[in-house]
Amino acid sequence: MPKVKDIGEVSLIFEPQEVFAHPQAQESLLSTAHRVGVKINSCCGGRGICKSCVIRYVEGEVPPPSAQDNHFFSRTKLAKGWRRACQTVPQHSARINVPKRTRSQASRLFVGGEDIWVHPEPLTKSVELLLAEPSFEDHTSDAQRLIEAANNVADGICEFVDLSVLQILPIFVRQQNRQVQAIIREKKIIALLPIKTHTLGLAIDLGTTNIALLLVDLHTGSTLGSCGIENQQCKYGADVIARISHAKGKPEVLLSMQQVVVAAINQAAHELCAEHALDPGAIVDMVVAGNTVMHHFLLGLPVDQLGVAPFTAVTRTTEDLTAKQLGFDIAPAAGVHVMHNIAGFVGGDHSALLLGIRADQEQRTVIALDIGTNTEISLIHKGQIYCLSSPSGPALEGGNIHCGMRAAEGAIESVSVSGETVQLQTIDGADPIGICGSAVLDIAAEFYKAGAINFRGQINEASSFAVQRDGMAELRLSKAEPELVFTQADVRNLQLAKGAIRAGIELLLQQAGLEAQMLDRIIIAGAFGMYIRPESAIAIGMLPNLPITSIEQVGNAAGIGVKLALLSEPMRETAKRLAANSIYFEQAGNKSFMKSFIRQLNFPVLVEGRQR
Amino acid sequence: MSDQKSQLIDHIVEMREDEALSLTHKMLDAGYDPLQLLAHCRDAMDQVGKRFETQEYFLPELMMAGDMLSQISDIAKPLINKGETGEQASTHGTVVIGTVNGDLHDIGKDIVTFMLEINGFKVIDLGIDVPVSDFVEAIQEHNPQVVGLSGFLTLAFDAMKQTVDAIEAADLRGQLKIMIGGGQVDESIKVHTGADAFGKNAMDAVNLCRDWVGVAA
Repeated sequence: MPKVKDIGEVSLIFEPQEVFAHPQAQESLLSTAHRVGVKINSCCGGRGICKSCVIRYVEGEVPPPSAQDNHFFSRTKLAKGWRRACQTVPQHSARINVPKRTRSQASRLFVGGEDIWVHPEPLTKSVELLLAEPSFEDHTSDAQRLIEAANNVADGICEFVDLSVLQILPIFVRQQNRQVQAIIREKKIIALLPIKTHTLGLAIDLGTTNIALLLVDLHTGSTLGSCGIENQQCKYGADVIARISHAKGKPEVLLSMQQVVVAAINQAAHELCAEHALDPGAIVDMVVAGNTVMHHFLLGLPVDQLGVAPFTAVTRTTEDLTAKQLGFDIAPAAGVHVMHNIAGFVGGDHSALLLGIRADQEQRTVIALDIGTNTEISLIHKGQIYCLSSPSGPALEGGNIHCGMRAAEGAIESVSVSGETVQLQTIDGADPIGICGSAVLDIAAEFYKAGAINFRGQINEASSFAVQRDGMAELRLSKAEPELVFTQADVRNLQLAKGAIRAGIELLLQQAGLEAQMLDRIIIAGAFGMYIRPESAIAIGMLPNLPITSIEQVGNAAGIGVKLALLSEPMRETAKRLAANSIYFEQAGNKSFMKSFIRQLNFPVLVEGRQR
Repeated sequence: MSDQKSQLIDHIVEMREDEALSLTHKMLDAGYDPLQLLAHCRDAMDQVGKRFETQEYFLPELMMAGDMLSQISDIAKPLINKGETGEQASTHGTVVIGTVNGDLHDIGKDIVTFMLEINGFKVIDLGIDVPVSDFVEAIQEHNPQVVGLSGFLTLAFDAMKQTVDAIEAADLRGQLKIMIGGGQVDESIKVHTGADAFGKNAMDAVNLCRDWVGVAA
């Protein structure tokens, strides 16, 4: 193990990967780590709010704790070298241990496999051709012979050949003994493939934190492979607002936002193809869905206006682009469709969700929501869709929670309280090391029911679960190291999150002249939504009090929607219509939303009727 | 009498709106001094504020208390004889507050407003998404000792800076102090915007204002 030496220049070694780094002046340990590619979680984006970036100095002089860390850790922990990476500016050479929890990646990337059948009607047509042999008697060009062969199969199908195809045409045709598979889109041959090979499409769910890829056979409609990767833009900020402010007025940052995403998708797509012995050049169509900010970054559009009221997008729609235009390393003339946005904070991912749940065919009165830092909510009622985006904050993703972490091994995912005992269930049954979003709901619901939290969200000091720290009560979940607690501030953050979601639901219902009891169904989409207990969501008032059976957890509906749009031209048109016809409400600055939001912060009264 | 006083305070502090309002009517109908009654309300608000600080109460209680106070004021104020200026006499100073241009968040600002008011400051709340020029005009009109700029979005920090610059350009900076708050403000944001101080929460704001106008806590 290399030893740490202080020789003028500060050098750091990150365990366990044994990565060396020289910090720049005034750079936080978190930034240094990210710069050299050491994975350190940062749920709050380095703002010193959460605990996701804790590290430990194991060798070298430990810098004095920041004022915030001084308050954050116990004296013993500080003495043992525990710090938060975002709060620490290294001054001396040191060896730093990055604990498992701090580097854990979300294991719950939900990438589908949830195959739903749709009759494939892709935008591309594929025809297998035998080209006439060139000779002295036949002076037609290779391209012309290609077009003629295609039109012999189906008259009028083809008029042009894309330049990228022309550039490989003579060599490819001769290599394949004049037998080729031509991929045609809008009368243009956009790719040539060997005969009897898959024509592939790529469906991409471009999330702020994670990117999911689905490799699909465009003919059969079956999913050939899938994978999830982290959105590399995370190093520029955990949430969209942080990234907007980072890129604001800086074209070079805007450009790199685009490049890191494209590079990550390229790498993942190539690995996915390699795994299944497929050629990335056979990917001839691609559909991407993301929120409006991800959409803008992907297309290199300025995001400055998206960050300030009234949150104006550059565009909601774009015509289909080519892979080459955006730098995707697939068939160069492959189309890239970016799903249409609905508004500044309701993006193409929500259009995809609406398609995924087939909102166009919905006869019932339904609330569909995808819970995240911003929770997009749609009300579908009598053929009309009303939607909004509610600022629920990161608490439900484990951010802004004292012991919060992503949904990874060792994260407490559900909690139940009976009598005097707290039962914890962790992901993969590992020893608990933190709390992820689904457990946050359970903790609030279970401790509320047990009387350890009152309806105002105040922790009851007299409760046997409560312990005192710095004069504030907190709930203890686990005594063993690491000690896990749920603080009063955590309860407040959860209240803000659930209040925002419920107020959003209520605002939509009010706009449509409906009441919660008139809802037939609540559809919870998204990875997070898969793992919550609806009972807990109802107990704390995040969702209206409907029968449990009317709450449906559908998983990655947006992913399904992207796949549908990839496989079927009519579906793609349906999604465009859904996006265009949805009625968007801006909650920001809306007084009635604010009032409703504040009212919804309390937990639903269990006994007495004092709360209105 | 003093029994009614403590009952009224109790109703407000315990969020019993209907009881508080009907007792207000009863007291005023029986000839209770409306200025006295409003003073009791302020005592009650003070207690609500303390409960908020100790985390016993959260935003809903602040909102309900604020609602009750404004309803009671509406009932009591018409009964106050002209010439009696019990209220203004008690203000420590004036604060102009608002959420800066481009930002629509108002919860934090509303809490600060509430806490300043119950601590004896007159607050001119300009609302949200406030153009720079509105701040300047309000300062010229109300002559405040303190200006509070609120913003939650990191992007609001530039708007804060512009507002501070405009106040300076209008030659108003010398007569007042500027505090900023909201979301992720810290020392570096304070420096960036050119404000005099920043606050992490509503009590910070109250303490800053007290310091600046020279009121003991």
